Amino acid sequence: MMVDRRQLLVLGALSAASTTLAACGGGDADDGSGAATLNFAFWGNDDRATKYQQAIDLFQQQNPAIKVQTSFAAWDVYWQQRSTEAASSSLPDVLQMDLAYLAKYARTRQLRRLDDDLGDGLTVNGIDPNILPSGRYDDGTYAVPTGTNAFAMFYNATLLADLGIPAPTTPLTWAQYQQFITDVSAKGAGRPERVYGSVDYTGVFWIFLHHIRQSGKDPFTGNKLNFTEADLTAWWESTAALRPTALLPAKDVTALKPVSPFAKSRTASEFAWDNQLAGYLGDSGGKGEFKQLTLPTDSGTSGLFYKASMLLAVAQNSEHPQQSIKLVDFLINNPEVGKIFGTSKGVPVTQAQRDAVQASGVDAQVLAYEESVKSSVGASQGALPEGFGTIETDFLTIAEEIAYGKTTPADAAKRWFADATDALTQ
Amino acid sequence: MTATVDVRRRRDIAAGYLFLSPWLLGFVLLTAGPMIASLYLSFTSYDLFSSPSWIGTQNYTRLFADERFRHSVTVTLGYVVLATPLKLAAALAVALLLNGRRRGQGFYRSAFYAPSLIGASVSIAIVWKALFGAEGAVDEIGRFFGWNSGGWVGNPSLSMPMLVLLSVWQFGAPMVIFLAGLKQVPAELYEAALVDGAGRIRRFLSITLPMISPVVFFNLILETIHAFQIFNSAYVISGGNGSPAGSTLFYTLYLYMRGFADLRMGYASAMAWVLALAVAALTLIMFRTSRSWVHYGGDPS
Repeated sequence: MMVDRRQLLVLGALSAASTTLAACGGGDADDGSGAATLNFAFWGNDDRATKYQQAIDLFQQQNPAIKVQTSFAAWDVYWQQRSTEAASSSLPDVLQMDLAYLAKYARTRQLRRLDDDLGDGLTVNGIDPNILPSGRYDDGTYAVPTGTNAFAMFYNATLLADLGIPAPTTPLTWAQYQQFITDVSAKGAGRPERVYGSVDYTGVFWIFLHHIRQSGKDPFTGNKLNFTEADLTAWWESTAALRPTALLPAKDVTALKPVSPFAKSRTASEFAWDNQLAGYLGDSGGKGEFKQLTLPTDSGTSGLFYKASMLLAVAQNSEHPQQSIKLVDFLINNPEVGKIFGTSKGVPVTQAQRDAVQASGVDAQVLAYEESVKSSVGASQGALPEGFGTIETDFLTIAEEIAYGKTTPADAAKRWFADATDALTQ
Repeated sequence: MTATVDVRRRRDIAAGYLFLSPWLLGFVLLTAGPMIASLYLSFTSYDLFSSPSWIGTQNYTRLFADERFRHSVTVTLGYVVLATPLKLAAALAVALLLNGRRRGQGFYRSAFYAPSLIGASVSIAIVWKALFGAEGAVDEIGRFFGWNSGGWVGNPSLSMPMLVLLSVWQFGAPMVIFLAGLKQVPAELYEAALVDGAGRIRRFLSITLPMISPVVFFNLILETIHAFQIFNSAYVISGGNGSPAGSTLFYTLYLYMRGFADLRMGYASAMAWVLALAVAALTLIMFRTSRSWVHYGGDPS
C-alpha cells in the first residue's frame, strides 16, 4: 500500500477542511445562539416525559436554532445507560442527576464545572442559597437542583375514620407512633383483608437516616458512616415486638410490589418523600385521603431537610455547552415550565416557578407541607457518598430478610456494616 | 504435476478459510476477544468511569469471603440439582408417550415443544409472576383446596419451586432429542424381550434406558449448563434483586447486580470466570463418570 502524491494531497485537504469545520463549530458555540442538536436524558415515566416534551417544545419555539432530542428510562436502567456512556465519553449533553450519583460523575470529571457559568448564562438568583450548594462536589458546582423534596409521614384519613381511630397528631414520639400502629392493627384484624398500622418501616434506609439526623448527627462524614453497628442493631430491634402481629407481613408487601400497600389501604401509615402523594393517589384508584405529617421524634428535632431532587447537569463531553446551559437555565427559571410540572419533580426550586404552580389539589398539599416544616428543617444534604446506591440496596435486601424472620437484627447489622464499609471504600 | 496439486490444494484451503471467515471473525471479535478482556478485568478494579487498575487476585480472594456470593452459590446449586433431573424426567416421560404411532402425533409434538420456544422470554416470566402471585390462578386453586399460600412469588420457600416449575415446563428441546433417540432403538430387542416374557418396566429399564443412554448423557450435560445460566426469569420475577429474602439470588443475578448496578466490573468478571471454570470442571467430571453408565451402540460389551 503506497500512497501517491495525489492521494496525499486529498488527505491533506480533507484534514485541513475538518479542522476548519471543527473551528467553525467552536466559534458558533461561544454565545449559545448557534444551531445545535442537544441530547437530553432523564429518568421517569410517561407522565414526566409528556411534561418534559411540553417544556421543550416551548424552549424550541424561543430558540429555533436549537433542537432537543429527549430520551428517558426507569431509574435503574437510566443509570446503567449513563454509566456505559460515561465509559466511552458519550454522555448526553444535558442529563438529570441525583445526589446519590453526583460524587461519582463529578469526581471522574464527566460533568462540566458550572461555576463560571453561574450568573453568566445560568441564572441561579432565584434559588434558595441553602439549596444551591447541593449540586457542589469538592470545590466546584457540577449540577443545579430543579426541585426539593422533604420526607414525610403519610396517613390515610379515610381508612382511620372507617376504623374509628383518631388521626395522629404532632408532636409524636416513636413510642406513640408504635402505639398508633398497634391500635390500627388490632382494629383492622377483623377485616376480610386485614388492615395494619404500617409495614416494617425500619427497612427503609431514608427513615433510618432521618432517625440518625434526629440525634443531631449527619449520617455520613465524607465517604464514611457516622453511626455504629449498635445504632443500626437498636433500630432494627425497635420494631421486634410489633413484627409478629402488628406489621404487614413481608410476603404481602412483596406480592403487591411495585405498588405500595399504603396506597391500597392495607396499611394506615407510611413514610415517603412528600412528592410521593401523586403516586399514592394514582395507585389508590380513588380510595383514601392521604395526609402528611412531620416525622415522629424523641429528641424534639425532626431531622428533616430539603433534599435537592432532579438536578440538571451538562456533560463534559458536550460539543455545545453554551446551548446546553441555555436549556438548563430555561428549565430552572421559566415560569411556564413551573406550571407544566407542578410539584411532580418536587417543589420548584426558584420563586418564579413556585409562584407559577397552580396551587390546588396535590400541588397545594405538597407546597403547604414543605412550607409547614420550614422552621424545623436542618442543613441541606449535599452529594451523597459514592456507593450510596449500593449500600441502600443492601439495606433494603438485608432488612427484608429480618422481616421474613430469616436473620436477627444483630447479625443483619453486622453483615450490612461489612458490605457498606466495603462498598464505600471502593 | 505435484506443483499443480499443491496450488489447487492451497487454493482449496484459502477458499475454506474464506467461507469460514464470518464465523472466525465473529468468534474472535464477539467471543474470544471479550473473554480475554474479561479475564484481564477480573484482576483489576474497574468501574467504567476510570481506567482499570491492576489489583492482582484481590477480586478472587474477596469473592470467597463474600457471604452473599456463597449464598448465591447455594441458591444456584439447589436450583440445578432440582430443576435438571425434573426437567429431564418430564421430557423423557412425554417422549415415551409420543413414541408410539398415534393419530395427530405431529400436532402433539409441536404443542409440547411450544413452551420451550417462548419459555425463556420476559413475557412468560411476567405471566408466571401473575399466575403464582397473591390472588393469582395458582393461589386461587390452592385456596379452593384449603391451602392458603398467600402467593408463591412473595414466599421465600415457594419462590424457588415456582422457578423450577417454569424450567420443567420448557422440556420441549430435550424431549425432541429423546424422541429421536427412542426411534433408534431396534424393534427386535423389544420383540425378543416380549418372547422372554419381560414386562413394561423391565423392558424400559433393560432395553430403552441403556440404548438411549448416550442421548440421556447429552441432554444431562446440556441442561445442567443451561440451569447454571438461569437469569431472565429470575431477574423479572424477583424484580432484579433476588427477593424475597434472597431466595432467588442466583449466581448470574448477583453477577449482574455487582457489574451493572454497583459498577464493580472487575468483581463481576472474576465471578464470571469462577462460574465458567466450575461448569467446565463439572462437565469434565460428568464425562469421567459417563464411562460406567453410557453405552454406545458399537461398543463391544
